Amino acid sequence: MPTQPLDSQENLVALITRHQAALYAYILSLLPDQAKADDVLQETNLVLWRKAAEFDMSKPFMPWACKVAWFQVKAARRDAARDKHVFDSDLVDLLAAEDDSDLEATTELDHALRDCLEELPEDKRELILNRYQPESSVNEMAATRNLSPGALSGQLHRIRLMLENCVEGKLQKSLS
Amino acid sequence: MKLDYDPELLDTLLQKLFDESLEEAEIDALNANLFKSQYARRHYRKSLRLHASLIRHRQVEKVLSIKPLVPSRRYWPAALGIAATIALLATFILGTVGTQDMRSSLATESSPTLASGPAAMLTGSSAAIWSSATPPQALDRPLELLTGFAEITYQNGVRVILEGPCRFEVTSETSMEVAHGRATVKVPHPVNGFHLDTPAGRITDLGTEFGVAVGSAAEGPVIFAAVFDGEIEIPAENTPRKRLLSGDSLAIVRDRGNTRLISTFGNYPVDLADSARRLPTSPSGTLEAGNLALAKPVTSPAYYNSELGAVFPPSTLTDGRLNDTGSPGDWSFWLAPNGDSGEFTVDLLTAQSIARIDLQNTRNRIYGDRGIREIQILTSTDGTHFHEILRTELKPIAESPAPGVEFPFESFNFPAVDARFVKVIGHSHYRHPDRPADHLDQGGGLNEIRIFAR
Repeated sequence: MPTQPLDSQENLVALITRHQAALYAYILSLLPDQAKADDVLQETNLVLWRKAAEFDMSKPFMPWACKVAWFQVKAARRDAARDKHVFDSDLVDLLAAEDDSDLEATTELDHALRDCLEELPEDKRELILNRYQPESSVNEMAATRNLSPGALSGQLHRIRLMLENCVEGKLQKSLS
Repeated sequence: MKLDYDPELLDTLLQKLFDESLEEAEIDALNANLFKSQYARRHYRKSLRLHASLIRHRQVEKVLSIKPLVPSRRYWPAALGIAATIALLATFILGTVGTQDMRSSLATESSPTLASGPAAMLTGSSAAIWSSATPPQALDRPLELLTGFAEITYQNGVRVILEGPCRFEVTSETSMEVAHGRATVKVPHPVNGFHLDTPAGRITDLGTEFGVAVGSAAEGPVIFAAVFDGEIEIPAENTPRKRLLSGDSLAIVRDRGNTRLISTFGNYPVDLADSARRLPTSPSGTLEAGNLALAKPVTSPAYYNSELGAVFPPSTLTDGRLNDTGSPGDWSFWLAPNGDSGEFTVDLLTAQSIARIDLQNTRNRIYGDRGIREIQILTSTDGTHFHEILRTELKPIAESPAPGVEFPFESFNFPAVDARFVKVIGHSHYRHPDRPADHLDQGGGLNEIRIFAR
């Protein structure tokens, strides 16, 4: 098995690590199911790791990583062929084929989101973070709050929009 | 720019997508909208990135350096991340030195793996505290996760979630030994033959996701095993091995060299539905600084104590372990005997001024049939003469939160009083809502008590 200089290996590992958020967003955009996307990210990481020797350090990382991730998404869709997928194959092909340069800014988005969450009123922050707890569901959350699922979903929608505006503002500010 | 889609409609569909509540017709509408318009797809990606970031926000934990551990003839990358802004500690095991023999001996039973290289690494953790000062640098030795959760990923894709307190060791490219605590193993298709060794014998995966709680009782080691998906093989009594299928749960009891398999302990079915199957979020962590009760002795006139490690002593009330978790013989919460609302006394060892008590109720895991309700709190400086400081009622823990999500604490303030002993007397308790009032399995119980000077 070919070996690489330690520096290249370390660089690649750093690249994989640094781009976890972007890779996850890319995978989730094609496979909008948290659990499946999580599994595909794991698989993608392992494949990237195994294919370390194939990566040309002089080239950008994300196109290569997204290509690997895309094959893993296709494999996951094939493995779960009997499940109903949210997106049709044609749409997934289209989404995968389009360039998404904003993915590179995912880390900045993460940082901005953290700040924006801090700025949210406490009740709203708690609500949105509860929604993103593992195994959390809108139906269960609604039941414990004596709300209809639709009403709760509406609240979450408004909070997401607040966060989206806040994040966008912070990202633009950081660019100016 | 003229939009060729309805942004409000798309927004509505996307929020439903993110909340997993899309109806069939809405799925079709979403596909159609996204397919026909590149602006709609741009809109989708923007909203999706925030959604993805929120998902990953819950997983963020530590920033650890990346460093290869064993310089050898072969270099292996040492880390892969799983969370957004984190870097992960990569940990080599089976480094070249002293491991070739082990690799060779495993060659016949290995699942598909690389010809050589690291077998497993620590790929994430959540609120993890290790017995060592820092997260482990190598996994090929006995390790102790005191509290929190850790994720170990094998090179062949097998993923193990450990919940502290847990003692474990990665023993080969296809095996792990768990001496104590909880573990959930997910073996990806088409790998099979992963082994989890316990004091009661070897559990062999046959392509699956399964969980164990490894503990002990007076009878010997007791291991709860549950298959979430697929099939496993466990030690058995009359045949060499027994297969468990998806949805099956059994306790493996090793007693004087014999193996017994049982499906209930007391009146409770063996169940590990509350196991962490993914790395949970880092608990928000209610503040414990200044908790005078932490690790202080607690006495109780009686507590629930049954066979097979179903033991819930009052020492769990001040052990700092929250929520209903644990393994046989090492549960994290206190239960009063059947039919009894319970009573216990915390000894702060010296008289101190106290003005606040925080209590975390229990529900007795997934069973939901215990929990203290009306309570009286008394204090004393000498252990003989007690004075009531308050009476109150605790709320029930109605639902089991997801693993790693902290049960709520209830806080009670009162005028400062000098006390060495704090006694809590239960006057009523919660029961299972669907069982008759005279059902045997009901009683008081509590997870944790914290006492503060203010």
